[in-house]
Amino acid sequence: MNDSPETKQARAEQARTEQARTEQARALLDSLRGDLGQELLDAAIPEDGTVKIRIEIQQYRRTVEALHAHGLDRLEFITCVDRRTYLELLVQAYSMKMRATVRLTSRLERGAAQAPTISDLWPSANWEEREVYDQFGVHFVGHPDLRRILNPDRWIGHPLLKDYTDDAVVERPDYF
Amino acid sequence: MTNPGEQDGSGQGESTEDAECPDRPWTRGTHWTPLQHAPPQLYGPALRGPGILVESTEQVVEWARSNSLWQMMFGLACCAIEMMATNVAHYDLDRFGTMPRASPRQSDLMIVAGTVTHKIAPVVERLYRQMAEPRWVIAMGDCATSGGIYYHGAYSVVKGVDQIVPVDVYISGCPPRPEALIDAIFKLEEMIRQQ
Repeated sequence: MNDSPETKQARAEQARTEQARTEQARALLDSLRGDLGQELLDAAIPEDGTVKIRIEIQQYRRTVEALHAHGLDRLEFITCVDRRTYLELLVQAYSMKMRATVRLTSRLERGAAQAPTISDLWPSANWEEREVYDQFGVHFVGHPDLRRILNPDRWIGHPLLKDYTDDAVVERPDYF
Repeated sequence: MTNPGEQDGSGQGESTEDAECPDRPWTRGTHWTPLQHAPPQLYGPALRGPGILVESTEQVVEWARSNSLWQMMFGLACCAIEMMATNVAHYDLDRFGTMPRASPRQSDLMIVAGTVTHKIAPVVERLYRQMAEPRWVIAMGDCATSGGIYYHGAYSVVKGVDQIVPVDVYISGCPPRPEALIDAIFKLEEMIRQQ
């Protein structure tokens, strides 16, 4: 590698920044561990530096409150994935000050999925929760205005569930 | 190659290849053949005789309508980018009398450019009904024609705008080139003149 000194310097700078971020994330995870203790089912920091934690849905509200109290001031998204046997709720938050991202996952029961709302902590969660309700049918208890947001108001069913069927949907033939 | 007029007889015509055309200095001495144009088509009502208009009124009206197809701006997806490109300077749809209007009351032609979802479908129908007759519809692109790539498995897309409004011309492509849109408008003009 015949890199110029400037490139080497930039690389070193970048490595240092990444290391600082990873340390920041690790410190955040330790702090969360101290706060939540046994309730973290799974916690890891993969290479991208995101703190990934998994919790039971019963501790969801408490965990999110703890995240909010830890200075994660920006809610990046709330979304859901249909894993066929269960639904997976994902919440990602970011701290502007620490520059750390936390991704929280939690399993929801298929059929009667319920979760407490977090729209009072981050106001931007209002529409995100409406979208998850619209597409996956997750009921957010305590949400101020849980209506459909993307689909028409008279829509029946929640289209992003894997078992959703509709007269207008044409099934794809088995080409592949 | 030589000028066709000088080719009969011997091969002497080749000497004109390097000669400069005096009346066309921009050819710069290169060979120049006059293009064989098709005879110009007669547009519209013909003046035959000393100022006597011999066409039926309907034909005059159709001619006028077909040459001023004002389109309604109706961009729903990426096809709208091609429609915009057709409208602005490079393809300049305005030279064919077709220009975008922002109101259904002022427009004769609705170019449905893009994916028609179930949510926008009532709006499409309503805007079509708001247009004054006579009115025409072009389904631009695969999505507006049949649902396109959203045909299979999509819960949100109408399988073709012809389920909502009557369509006169369909354009294939994803998205179609501006030439395809211009061709569709020519087809529609022909259709109107032959009505």
